[in-house]
Amino acid sequence: MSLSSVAASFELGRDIEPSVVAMLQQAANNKSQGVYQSLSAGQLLPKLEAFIRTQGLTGAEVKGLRRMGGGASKEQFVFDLHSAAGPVQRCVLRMDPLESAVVTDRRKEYEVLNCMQSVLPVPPVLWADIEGAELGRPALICGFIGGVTKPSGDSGNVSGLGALLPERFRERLSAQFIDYLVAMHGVAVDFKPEVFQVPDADPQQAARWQLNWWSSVWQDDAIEGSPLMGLAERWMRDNLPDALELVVVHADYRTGNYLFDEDSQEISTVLDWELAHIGDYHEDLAWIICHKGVTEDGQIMASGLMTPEELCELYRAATGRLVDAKTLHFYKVLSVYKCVAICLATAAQTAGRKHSHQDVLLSWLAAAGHSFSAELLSLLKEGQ
Amino acid sequence: MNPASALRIDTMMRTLQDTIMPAIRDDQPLAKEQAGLMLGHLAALQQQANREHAVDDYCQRLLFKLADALLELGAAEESVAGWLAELDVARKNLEVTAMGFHLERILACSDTSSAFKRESTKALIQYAEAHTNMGRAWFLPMGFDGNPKELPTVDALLAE
Repeated sequence: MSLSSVAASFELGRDIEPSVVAMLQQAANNKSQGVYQSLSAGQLLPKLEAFIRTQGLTGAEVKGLRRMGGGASKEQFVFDLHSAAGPVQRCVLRMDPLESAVVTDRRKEYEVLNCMQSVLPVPPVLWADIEGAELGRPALICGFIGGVTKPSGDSGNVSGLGALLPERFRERLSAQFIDYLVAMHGVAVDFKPEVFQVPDADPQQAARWQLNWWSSVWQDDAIEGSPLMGLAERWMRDNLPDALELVVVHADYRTGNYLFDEDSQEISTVLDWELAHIGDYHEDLAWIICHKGVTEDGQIMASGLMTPEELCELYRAATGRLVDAKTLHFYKVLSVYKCVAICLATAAQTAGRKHSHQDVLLSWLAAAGHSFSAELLSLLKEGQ
Repeated sequence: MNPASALRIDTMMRTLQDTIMPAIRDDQPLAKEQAGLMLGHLAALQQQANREHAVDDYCQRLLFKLADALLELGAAEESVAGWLAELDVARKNLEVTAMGFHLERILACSDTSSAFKRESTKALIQYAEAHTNMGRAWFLPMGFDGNPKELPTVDALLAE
């Protein structure tokens, strides 16, 4: 059975990024499939070795293949790669389950990671099985980078949401966090046109593409209607901002998606580029602000690192770009709208269809959608 | 009925905590994490026990009130006339799921008068304040809420 995504009803090339339509259409087709069965490390090993050998690495041997913890979306394995070509290399395999909390495309992730290699610390991409023809599911293989997402001993929430870094880490990590944000936003937006399309038909197209993407996700996956999400959609359609400058938007840049060394407090790598696209730089700023930690005295810390005002001022000082309050507010509404869609719709539906190896985490994550709904309401009241 | 759900959940939590989780090897981080999540789900279910129907009823009452408000406010709005007609049918047939989707689409429509937008926003805010408070209170045991001290309890909300 083949289903249709709401995104497919938009006029291709105008109202939504065409490659996003294709991605959502593929996701819609996956919904009718049966229960997802993960491969064990033992089942995966021969496929993985065969795949690596087809990439031209002679005598490749995979040792110590084992599953990693963490992550709500991808199956993750770590292994040591032995070959005649050089020293042993520790690698990470990230593989799509049938569905996950967000629909993404390995082709986009592969392209943007390759582009960022010379710009900021990212995992080195070794190979990609874009369609999953060799490994069974779409997958990326990257070099392993050490580090932590939060200081050891900090239990936090398993989802990584609401992270507040201890004060002794904030100043040093904040400076690097801003530097890397500025660096990724400085990259030219000239990717292969079949992978990333540029929303430059009119000044509002960047915002409209995002709204149409995420309202399609919501309508494809919603378990129950949400009058609040309806109002949010209307407010965003009525308040689409002009993009002042288009950049490579990471779209999930926050504490939890970079690794750092606890002793040196150096960021070792920036992770999770799978939602990257070309859009308005306010989008990343808003996402960082909406993933907030709150100090004991009630101070909101954007991504658990710095106040929202500090973030915007540091960004403005480093780039010379205007941080427009109305545009930022639009993207805050969009950010929280996305979080509600991911939690209450896609995560819950995926778990219900038994389409992920992390169904129990997705059904846990779904509950966060109610706190995000309250945040969405608060932002809409502020925007009236 | 004996054995009560509370007892069964309690025993599942104890066996997970005392027997199963210590038996998971350190080189199985995903299994460890998922066992921890099971424990968390069970702890939340234990705190929510026996009140799910009351919470659903509360949310439905809010939805009917919003539907009544929008049916009245939108009477002159041509662009949402079709959705309103479907909402009216769903409301009469007590089809709550359909009502939710129709209400969402009515509110999502941009092509309505400014008066409808203003008044429907007021009605929605009243609905959503009560609905999001209940959602946050109900799922408070999951640990996602950033400001739990300001929240009324589920029992206090149900007593309103």
